Amino acid sequence: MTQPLSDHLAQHTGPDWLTAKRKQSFDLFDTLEVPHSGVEAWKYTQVVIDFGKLNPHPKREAVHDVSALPKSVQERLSSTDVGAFLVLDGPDVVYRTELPAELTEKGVIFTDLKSALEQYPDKVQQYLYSVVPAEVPDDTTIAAPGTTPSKSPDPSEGKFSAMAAALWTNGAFVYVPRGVEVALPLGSFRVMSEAGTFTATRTLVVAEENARVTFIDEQDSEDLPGTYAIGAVELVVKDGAQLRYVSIQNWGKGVTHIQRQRGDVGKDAVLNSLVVTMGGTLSRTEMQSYLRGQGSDSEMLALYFANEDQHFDHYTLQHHAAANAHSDLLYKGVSDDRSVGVFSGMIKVDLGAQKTDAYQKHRTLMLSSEAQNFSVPQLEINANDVRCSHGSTTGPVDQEQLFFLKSRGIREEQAEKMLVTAFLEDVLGRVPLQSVVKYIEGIIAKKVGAA
Amino acid sequence: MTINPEVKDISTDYEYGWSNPEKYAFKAPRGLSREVVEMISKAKDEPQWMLDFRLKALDIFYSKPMPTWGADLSGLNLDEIYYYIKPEGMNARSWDDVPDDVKKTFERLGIPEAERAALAGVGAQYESEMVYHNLKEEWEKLGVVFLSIEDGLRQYPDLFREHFATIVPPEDNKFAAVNSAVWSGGSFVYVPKGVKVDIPLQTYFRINAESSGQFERTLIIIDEGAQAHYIEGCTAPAYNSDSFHSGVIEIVVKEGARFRYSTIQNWSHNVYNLVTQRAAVYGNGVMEWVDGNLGSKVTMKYPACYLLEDGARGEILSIAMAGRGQHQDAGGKIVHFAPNTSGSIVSKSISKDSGRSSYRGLVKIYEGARNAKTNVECDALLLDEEARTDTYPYIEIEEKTARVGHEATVSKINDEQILYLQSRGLTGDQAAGLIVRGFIEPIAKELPLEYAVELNRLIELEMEGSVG
Repeated sequence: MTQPLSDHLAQHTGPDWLTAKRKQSFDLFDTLEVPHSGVEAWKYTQVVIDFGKLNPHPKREAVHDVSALPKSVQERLSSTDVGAFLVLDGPDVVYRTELPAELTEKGVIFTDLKSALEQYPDKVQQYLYSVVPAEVPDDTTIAAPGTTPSKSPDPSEGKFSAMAAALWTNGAFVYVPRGVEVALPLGSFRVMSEAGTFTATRTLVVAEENARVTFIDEQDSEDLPGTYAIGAVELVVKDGAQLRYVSIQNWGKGVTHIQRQRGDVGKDAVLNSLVVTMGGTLSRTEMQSYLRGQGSDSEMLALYFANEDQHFDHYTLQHHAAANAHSDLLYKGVSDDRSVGVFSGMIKVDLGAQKTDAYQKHRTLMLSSEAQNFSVPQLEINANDVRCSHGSTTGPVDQEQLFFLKSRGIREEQAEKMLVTAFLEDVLGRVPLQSVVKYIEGIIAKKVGAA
Repeated sequence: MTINPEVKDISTDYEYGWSNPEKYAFKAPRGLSREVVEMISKAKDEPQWMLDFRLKALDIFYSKPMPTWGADLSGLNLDEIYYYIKPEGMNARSWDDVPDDVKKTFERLGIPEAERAALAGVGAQYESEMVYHNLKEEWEKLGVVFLSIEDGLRQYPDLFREHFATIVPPEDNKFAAVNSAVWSGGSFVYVPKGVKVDIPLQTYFRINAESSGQFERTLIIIDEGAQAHYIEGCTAPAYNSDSFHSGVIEIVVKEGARFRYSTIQNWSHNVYNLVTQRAAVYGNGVMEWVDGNLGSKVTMKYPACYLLEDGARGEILSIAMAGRGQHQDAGGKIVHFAPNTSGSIVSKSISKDSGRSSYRGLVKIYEGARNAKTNVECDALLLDEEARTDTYPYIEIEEKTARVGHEATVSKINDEQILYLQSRGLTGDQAAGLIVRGFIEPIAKELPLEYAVELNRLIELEMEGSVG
């Protein structure tokens, strides 16, 4: 058994079902290996981690005034338009704002998971682990009898989700009752402030039937060598509901970020996701849409810019388990310096999921010959009356566009930056969240400028 | 190739499913062992270095795990296979010298007739050995070499050793290792500088015995500025127990040379077909793979072009058709090592009746391979609700100036098209067949006419009863 971590496990309190679940998850975690390069889903990303030396991020005192928060958080909060937010420093909440009373009156819940366990134990028990369990979800496609089966996932793909399931300390909990629409986004701002530690967090968002909500999950820190952020995000989108989820990863250098984000999408429900990856040294973000209900819909967007020695791995899944569902994925990335970019995306269509309409597009811009980019766009299709296509392109900055800008008197370096910015911001045109888009544009500008 | 008039329906009865009684000069015991490897080497009276090579490859085979990706190989029992079966009569230059039942086999397959009509040379392999190999005199005079691989080793030891196992070393993968240990049969081809062989060479592979393995090894060297086209075809009887075919094809395309390798794989539906095919392409050389996979139970085959010098080009046309119980895991690899290299992969697959076709491919561009370009296009056609298709492309880029595109689409047969054709008096089957032929036309047109006809006919047979 991994000693410091099992000590850590023992410190968690909570209801019996949760303690049992944590214990069970930890046992699974303990038996699994870190996925090696022979595991297809982790072919291009190896995580070096010594669990024996891993210490939990220390708990920080809660503050009652924004001015006591880290400066970067203050700056960020000054320009956000979220309706309510949590700030987590390391393992726990250090600051929060409350929901407007009118939403509370309608039954909307926005709090942290630990508080929710005490105040809404039934709701938490009902949904926690239902979308992102400890083990790797078995998305093996349902095929016709007699068809050569697909390979099942490798159990080691559950290594980090088991860790997150066992050791999570806190995270946001959102619950929107049937038919309620929450106009302003809700958000959590996660920071870390101690190098050489790890945090494990868990986010649970539940949109009941025909409810509507946006949740923004931001991560930001100073440079923190040898630090790990392990996360799980569970998105429950019931029939007819609409959920928009935005994840912006802007950790400082030295951080390893591993997060599985998964949505369970009901009949005629819509899940929009946007993944932005800019920070950290090694980042693995999984975004999975499980289209369970007929007529469900998922839009999956992402942009990333990897430079210096950054290694970004994006793993996506559009799993069409029901007929008439629609999914549309666009991931755009830039690879500069000695960075490594990985995109592996999968469209799965189960037997009987007729009239599926699924699209997947990955585009990469290469700015350096020392950079590497790996793209694996995949399809597994078990229904015939479908529209499924995918495309992946990799190339340098368009030379004609560059030439045009230069002919207008713009220096080559500047022109390239303009084209890179335009390439990435293209994705943002599809995100109707002004303030967040502005913030992301700011991060892009900073990063492109430094490139 | 002529069309066998006895043929009716291969969706239920595979047309090449008959077998001859077993009459063999030699049959090794089942399973793989050091003794079997030594036996094969001794039977071929090989130099010591080849025996050493085989034994080393055997160790590599034992040390490598089965692949964790790709098709399901759990039904392949490697201990049940006969790794070496030597037919009676060996490597004749005239069909008259080929034993009667073997000759009849190839006559039924239309080989001697095709040779007279349209081919520069023909090889025929029966079980583990080539039983026939002949090159027309006019090509021999120009210095073209077309021999069994064993004769290649005997008659051109230096040229053989210079290239053998340099393109596909036994370490490459588990099945290349097993082939390296027990290889037998296959062709050795050399086309001298500047010689353009304008009609195809062909080798035909036939497995006859139950549970047998066939491990042919082919080495082809196309010298500077030369040109050639090589065709392989394969069939086997339909037994209840599975057979195992694991070939290794190594090709060298030297500067300015051009070579095309076409396969119409039509093994019976009890054959595991796990093949490694790779070409090393030098400056401004062009390598083309035309790979048609219709038969077998499981195929894993990804013809590769390694573009080693400036201006080299690789093209892969892949067509797969999977019916009930079949899994075609096919595709291609283009690897760019040098500047200004270019490639293209076009894959068309058709799945029906719970058959599964998968495209699996690699495009890799190494740092320094400036201005490399490759485009990949995969189209899958699904004929019914149970059919299945997958796409697993790997794109690995280490160079800023690289341009790589990949596109894949999946579609079903368009009902409106069927209806239209039916309104013009075609039956449902004919209409579906026509649409499928249109779908694969970009590939069929790259084959010599006789083969395009054969391919179309096979597909038509597969299509019978697919549209009500």
